[in-house]
Amino acid sequence: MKLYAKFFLCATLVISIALLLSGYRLITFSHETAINRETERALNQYQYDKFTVQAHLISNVDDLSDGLTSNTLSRLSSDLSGMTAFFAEDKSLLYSDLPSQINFSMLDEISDDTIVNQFQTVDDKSYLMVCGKLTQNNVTLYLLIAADVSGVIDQKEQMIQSFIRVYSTTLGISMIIILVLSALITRPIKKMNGVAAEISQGRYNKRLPVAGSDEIGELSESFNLMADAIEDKINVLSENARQKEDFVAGFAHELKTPLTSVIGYADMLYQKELSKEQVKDAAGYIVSEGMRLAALSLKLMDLIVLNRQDFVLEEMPVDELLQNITGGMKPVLEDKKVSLHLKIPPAYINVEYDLFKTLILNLMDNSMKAGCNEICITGEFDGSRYYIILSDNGHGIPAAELSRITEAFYTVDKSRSRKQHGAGLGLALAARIAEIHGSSLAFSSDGGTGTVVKIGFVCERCGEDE
Amino acid sequence: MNKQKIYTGIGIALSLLIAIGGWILTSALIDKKSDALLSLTGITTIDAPGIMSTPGITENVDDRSHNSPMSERPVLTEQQIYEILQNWESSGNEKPHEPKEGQLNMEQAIAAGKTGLTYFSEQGIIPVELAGYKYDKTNACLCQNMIDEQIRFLDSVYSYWTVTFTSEQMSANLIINAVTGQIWKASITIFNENIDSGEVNPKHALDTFASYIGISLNEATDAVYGENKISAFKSSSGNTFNAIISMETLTAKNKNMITDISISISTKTPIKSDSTITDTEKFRIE
Repeated sequence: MKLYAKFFLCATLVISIALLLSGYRLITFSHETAINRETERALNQYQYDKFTVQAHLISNVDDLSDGLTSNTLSRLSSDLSGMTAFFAEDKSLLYSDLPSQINFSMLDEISDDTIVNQFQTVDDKSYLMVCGKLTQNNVTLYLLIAADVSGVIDQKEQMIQSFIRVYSTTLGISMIIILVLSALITRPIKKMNGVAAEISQGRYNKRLPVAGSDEIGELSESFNLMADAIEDKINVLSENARQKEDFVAGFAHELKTPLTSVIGYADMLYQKELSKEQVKDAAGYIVSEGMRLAALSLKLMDLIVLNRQDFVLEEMPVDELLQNITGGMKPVLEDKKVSLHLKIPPAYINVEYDLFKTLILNLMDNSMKAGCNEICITGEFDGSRYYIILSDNGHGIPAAELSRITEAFYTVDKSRSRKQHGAGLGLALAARIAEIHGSSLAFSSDGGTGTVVKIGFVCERCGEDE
Repeated sequence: MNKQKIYTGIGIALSLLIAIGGWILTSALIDKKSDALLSLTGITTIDAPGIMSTPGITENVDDRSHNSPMSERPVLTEQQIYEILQNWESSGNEKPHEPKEGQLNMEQAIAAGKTGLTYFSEQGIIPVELAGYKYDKTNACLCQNMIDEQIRFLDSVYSYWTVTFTSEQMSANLIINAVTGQIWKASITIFNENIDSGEVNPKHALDTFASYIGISLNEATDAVYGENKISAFKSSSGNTFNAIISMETLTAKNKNMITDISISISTKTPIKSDSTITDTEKFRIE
């Protein structure tokens, strides 16, 4: 069942029950009050009439000498308020101006000290009859008076008719209002349903308009937040998927190129008669490409290991660490005619020694591959972080490439990278190590005059030595 | 048509069914209730509701003899008379009832009315012709004034008999205390101009009437004169009582003279008049 139909059903049920209960209570209370009022009035009237009859019997003793004749009673009846009947002591009817169909069985219930009242309906008219016994001057009579109370019954019928009109009008108007209200209330939900359907079909940028600050408004806001989160997640997943695709493509390419060389030189050695010199060159190529493949597999292994292992960081003096690491690089730096400048304020940073060493070596290797002749490593404090800044004067990285250089197998200049036996894994490895240290590689470059990379480390005792 | 639409249709149909069915059920219940109310036979015991004893009224009713036509009846104190009058003058519903213990029955009430009128005529308050007058028709009713939320009858002394004597020449409407049998209010209309209303000494008339009821009036008598009307009243110290006797002569459409005589005791403050009559001054309706 549709939600608006449920609203409609429930509201109709509640309004109907409320109206009917109040109508029932009102009509029955009013009817009961009217009946009680008429009964009270009839009892009082009976008492007045009884006094009138008694007074007549006292002041007209002569009338009693021959017994009460019908004429006397008729005259007496005219002095009374309404319809009257007189009965003798043996309850035989002496006089009556009531309709002949009236049943006088109520006489049987009268005793000396009681008055009986009863309703009777004759010919669509309702009568309230009151009857009692009176004794005066040794004459015993039963006096019955009747009042036409059809008005009370008619009043009840009129109230019922009026209430039907009020009930049907109120309920009709209420139903229309409920229908409109339920449509208004469910409209945002319908919209939400439509937007949810569109999102499920891939239109992740669809959002709900937020109108008002009620529950529906809050729900719309939450829905939009959820849609934002889904869109972000989808974007991340898409990016990851693209990176994986690129990784696989890069890996296949990196694998294919040396293998092609290895297969080509091996085939040449297998099929052709070569001179000793040619055999040596071919074998040299095969060894070189094989080593490249070995380096590639090692770096891939490192990446996998980095993703799977938990590392324990230890507090170490940064200046000593960098002195030690760069000390081992001196022959390579001299060989490539690259000067190294260290300006490291002493501090203790939290690192894993081997990973930190790999990070610095990869970054320096990257600088050297970028054709620099000067590398500067400096350190600086910023609150509880210690930043190591490595800058070079190499070819630099174009700004558009900066966001992708840490992706596996991504190289800015593929031909240059290949010549230098690079596979595009060094910076990916460095980025992962920085991540393990709770940091990231922040590259900046203008694409022509070198590159600067900044890495932050946790430093609990920064500047203490100073 | 899918299931959803069928259920929605059923829901709306059910709503209408509830609306219409609910009304039919309610209508049937109202009729049933009405039938139940109308089929009841009510039996009222004549003594119910019983007389409620009012502290300070029944206990203090004095049985000492009194120099009045109803000397064998109990005598009330001024305080009791004041409280009863206040009850009579309060707005409420007049409720007729059967005589209770200590109250006059109808025969006694009619007799008391006649005796009282005879006494008034002997004392010169009303024309002497009214003593022992033969009336054509008599009616009487014993009632009590039920004030506001009062659901039970008060003490017997609060009830009063309204006795009406009617004849061609005169009608008298008397309010008689149901216990003492004294006329506390009387309204007499004389249609016969041959009946002489006589000369009345207002002070004597008021003193006699007050004494008849059992109130001593000790303050000045005020009188209001009109062309065909004269009324006089006197107050008692402490509780304010106003004994009022007024006589007014009117000319009816058929040129007959009608004389209205009103005798009453009340607790209401009278309208102030500028003139005061002397003890010896008489008033006579011309």
